Amino acid sequence: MQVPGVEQASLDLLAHRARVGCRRYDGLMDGPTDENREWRMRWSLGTLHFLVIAAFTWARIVRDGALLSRVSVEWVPWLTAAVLVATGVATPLIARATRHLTAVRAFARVAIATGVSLLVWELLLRTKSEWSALALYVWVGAYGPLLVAQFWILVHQSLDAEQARAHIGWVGACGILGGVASGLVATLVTRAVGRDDLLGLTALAQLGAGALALGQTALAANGPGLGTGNRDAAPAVANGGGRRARTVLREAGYARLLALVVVLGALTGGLVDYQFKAALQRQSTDAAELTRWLGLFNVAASGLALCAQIATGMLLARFGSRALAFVLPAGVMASASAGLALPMVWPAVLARLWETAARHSLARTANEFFFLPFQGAPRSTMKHAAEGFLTRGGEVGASMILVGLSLAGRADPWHLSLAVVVACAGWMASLGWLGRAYAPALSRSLDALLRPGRTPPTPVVDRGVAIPELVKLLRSRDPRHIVFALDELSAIDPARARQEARPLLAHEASAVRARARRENTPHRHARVAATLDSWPGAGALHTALRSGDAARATAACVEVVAARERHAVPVLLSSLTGDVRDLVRNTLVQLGDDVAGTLGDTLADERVPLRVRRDVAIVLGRMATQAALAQLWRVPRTAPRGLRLLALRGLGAARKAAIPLAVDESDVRRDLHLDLQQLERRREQASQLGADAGPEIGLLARALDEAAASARELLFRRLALIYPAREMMRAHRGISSGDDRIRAFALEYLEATLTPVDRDRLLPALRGGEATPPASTQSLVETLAMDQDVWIATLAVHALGTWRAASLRAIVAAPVTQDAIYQETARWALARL
Amino acid sequence: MGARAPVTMDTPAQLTTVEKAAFLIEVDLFRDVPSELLSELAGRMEEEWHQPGDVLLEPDSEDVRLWVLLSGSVTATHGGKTLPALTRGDAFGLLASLGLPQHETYTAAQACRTLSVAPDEYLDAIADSTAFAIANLRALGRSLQARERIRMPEADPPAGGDTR
Repeated sequence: MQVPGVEQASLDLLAHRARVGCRRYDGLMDGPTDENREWRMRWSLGTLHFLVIAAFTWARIVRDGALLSRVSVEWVPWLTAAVLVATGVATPLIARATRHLTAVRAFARVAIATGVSLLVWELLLRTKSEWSALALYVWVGAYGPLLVAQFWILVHQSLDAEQARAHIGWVGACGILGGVASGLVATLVTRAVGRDDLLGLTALAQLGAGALALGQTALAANGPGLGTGNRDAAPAVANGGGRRARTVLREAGYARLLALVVVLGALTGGLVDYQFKAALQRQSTDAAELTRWLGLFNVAASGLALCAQIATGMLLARFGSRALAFVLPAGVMASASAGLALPMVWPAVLARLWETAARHSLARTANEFFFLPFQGAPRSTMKHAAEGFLTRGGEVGASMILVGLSLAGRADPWHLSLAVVVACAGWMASLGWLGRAYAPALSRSLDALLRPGRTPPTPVVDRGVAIPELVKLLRSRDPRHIVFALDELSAIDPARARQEARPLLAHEASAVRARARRENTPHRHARVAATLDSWPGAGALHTALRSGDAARATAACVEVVAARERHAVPVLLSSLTGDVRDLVRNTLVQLGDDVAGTLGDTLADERVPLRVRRDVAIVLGRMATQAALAQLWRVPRTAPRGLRLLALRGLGAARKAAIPLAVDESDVRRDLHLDLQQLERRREQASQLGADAGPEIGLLARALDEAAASARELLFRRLALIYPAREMMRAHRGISSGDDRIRAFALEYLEATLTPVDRDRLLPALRGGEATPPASTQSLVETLAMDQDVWIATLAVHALGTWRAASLRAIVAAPVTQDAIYQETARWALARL
Repeated sequence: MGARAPVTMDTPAQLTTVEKAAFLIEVDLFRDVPSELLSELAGRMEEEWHQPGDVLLEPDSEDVRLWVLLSGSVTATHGGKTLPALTRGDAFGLLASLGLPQHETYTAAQACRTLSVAPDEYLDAIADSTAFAIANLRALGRSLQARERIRMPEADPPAGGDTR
C-alpha cells in the first residue's frame, strides 16, 4: 500500500482554505464544467490507483512470503543494497524507453511491461529455488516505487490545480481501498490456491491498469482526457535528476535539512522493516501461513491508514503540520521502547504496523508541507530525490547498521529495538530543526512567488565578518565600489567608516570625495534661541522657500541644517507643499534628533492638517533614530487610518533595518484586536452592500472594501512589530494576492509562525469566514452615514441624497464632522430633497 | 489659449467632489487609487466646458494642466499628423505635468466638459501617498504594455519572405 500523492491533498487543503476566504470578496465563480468529463476523470484515475496499489501490495506479499519461507532474513540488508543498484539501473532505462511518450502512454507501457515480467516470475517461483525468491525481492523493490511514481506523474499531468482540489482526495482513497482489498484477497486466495498464483493476479491487475490507461489514450484523442490537462506539468517520466538534486542540496540549507529528515526516516523505516521480518520468520517459515499473515497485516495497515487519513484534516487544523510530523517517529519510538522492555514479537509488529500506516497517511501529508518552500523545478527535483536516492540511501544506511549488528553478533530483538530507538531520536531531532527552519524558508519562497523573475535574496550573513572585505574594497579602482563599501561600513561600524574615509577626501573621483566628506562632516549641536519669535532667520527662510528659485531654497535649507536650527521647524512645516516639499522633508530628516520632539508634538496634534501630519510621520520614519521612532508611537488610536499606517510603516522599516525598537507587546496586541474588529466589520458591511451595489452606492462599496484592506494592512503592520517584520509583510502581500496558491502559502506561513493564541484569533478572520446574509441596504447606508470614518460617512450621505431618503434630514442635522467634502455633499443631498 | 473660456450654452450643474471622484475611478490613470485619496485630488480639480476649436494644451505652453475628459471629444496633433481622438475617460497632459517636453496639441473637436488639475496639486497628491504614486505607475505600466503590444507586430519579420 502506498499513497504518495497525498502531497497534492495537502496543497488542496491549503488552497481550499484560501479559496473559502477570497470567494466572497473576489466574486470567484467556477466556470462551467463538463460534469461527465470530470466524473470520468475521477473514476479513471481512482480505478488506476486502486489497481496499481492492489498489484503492488500483492507483489510485496508474494515477495516477502517467498523470501521468508526460503532464505534467512539476514539476506535483507544485502538485498536492500541490490534494490538500490537495480533502481539506479532501471530508472534511466525506463526514462529512455518512454522519453517521447505522453504520461498516460508511458504509464501504460511501464505497467504492461512489468505485468508481463511478473508472469515470467511466477514460472520461476515454481522452481522453488532460493535465487528466484532473492531475485523477485530485488525486482519488486525496484519496479514497484517506479510504477507508483509513474502513476502520480500521470495524475499531475491529467489534472490542473482546480481539478486536483476536486479529485485528488478520491484518487488517494481509492489507493487505500486497493491496499485493504488486496490484503483481504491475499488472505483468502492463499487458503484456496497457492501463493504463487497471487503473482498471476498481480500481473493481471497491472495489465488491466495498462489497458485502462491505453483506453483513456484513445478517448483523449477525441477530447480532453488523462495526461492532457496540465500543460505545465513535469516530464512524462520520473527520471533521476540526481545532478539537479545535488545542486538544490548544495544551494539551500533548508534542502539539506529536509534531506537529512528523509534519510533518517528511511533509515528508521529500514530497521523497523527488518525487525518485523525477523520477528515474522521466528514465528513461521511456512509459505502459506506467512502469506496469510502478510495479507492480514496489509489489511490492518491499510485500515489504520484510512482512519488516520480521515483524521488528518482535523489533526492538521488543530495541531499544525509540524506537530503532526512527529506522530510517526513518536509512535515508532514508543513501540521500539516497548521492545526494549519486552523483546517479543508484538512490539516489532506494532512498530511496523504504525510505520506503514502513518507513513502513507497522516505523516505523508504532514511531511508534504515541508516541500512547500520549494517552487517549480526545485520542488519536483527535491520530491524525486526524496522518493528516490535519499530514501534508498537511508535504507542502505539501515542495511549497513544491520550488517554491522550481524557481524558483531548483536542482531537480536533487544539490540534491534535499541537501534530503532537511537535512529528515531535522530529523526525527531532533525524534524525539530526542520520545523524551526520551515517558516523562514516558507517566507523566502513567498517572496519569490510574489516577485517572479527576481534574483534570490542575499542570504543573511554576519555583517561584522565583512568589515575586512569592505576595507579592502575601499582600495578598489572603481569609485562605485568605494562608495558602496563606505556605505556598508558606515552602517556596520560608523567610527571605522569615519576613520577610513579621511584618506579618501583627496580621492581623484568626485563621487568618492563627496561621500568621504559626508562621512567626516561633524554633527553640531543646535543653538538654543530664547523664543521662537526671536529667531531672526524665519523670514529669510520663508521667503527663500516661497521664491520659486530652487537653488535659493536649497541654500537656505543647507544653512538651517548646518546650524541645527530647530526653530526653523514651524517655517519648514508650513512650506510642505509644491516644488519644495521634498526639499523640506529632507531638511527635517537631516535635522534629526534635534527636532524629533517638536515633530512628535505636531504628529499628535489633531488640529494640524492631516497632510502635514502625514509628512511628519514620513520624516520621522526616515530619520529612524531611537528618538524619532519613539515619537511615531504618539499617533493617537483615533487618528485617520492613513496616518496610523504611515507611523506603523516607519516603525516596521526600522525593524526591518534591525534598528533597536522598544515595543510594548501587550499594547500592540490590544491594537491588533481593534484592527481585527474593524476588518471584520468592514468586510461584513462590504459583503452586505456588494451583492447588489447599484451605481449610487458603488463608490461606497468600494470605500468599504478599501477600509477592510486598510484594516488588514494595519493588522499586519502591527504583527510585523512583534514577529519577523519582513516575513510578515510578505505574508500580507500574499494574503492580498488574487492568486489562491499564493494566499495558501501566506496562510501556511502564518500558521507556522503565529503563537497559538494569535493563530486562533487571527486566522479565521484572515481566511474570510462565512458570508453574512444581506441586510436592508437603506438601513445599512443610514448607519454608515453616521460612521466615524468621514469618507465613508460622506459617501453614505451621497447615496441617501441620490435616493432622496427622508431620513437624511435627521442625519445631516447632527453632522459627524466639519470636513469640507462631507459638508458639500450634505448640502447637495439636502438640496435634492 | 482658449482653455478656460466658459461656454454659454446650457450646461448641467457643477459636479460635487464625490461625483468627480466617482468619475475619476473610471479613468485608467486613477483606477487603482484608493477612493479617499482620489477625493482629495477631486477636490482640487476644476470642472470646465469648452467649445469646438478651443486649444487645451499645446507645445511650449506655460499653462500646463493634467486634463481628464468628462464628455465630448478632443483631437491631438503632432507635427501635422492627427492622432486618435480622445473621448470620455481619457487623460492627457500627464507628461507636461511631470515637467517633460510637450509635443502634441490638444484641441476640442466637439463641445466638451473636462476636469483639470495644476501640476503642483497633482504632484502633491502623489507625494501625499505612496498608494497614489503606485497606482499611477501601474497605469503608466499598462499604457506602456499596450503600446508595446501595438509595436510588436511591426517588429516581426514579414512572413513568407522566402518563396523558393
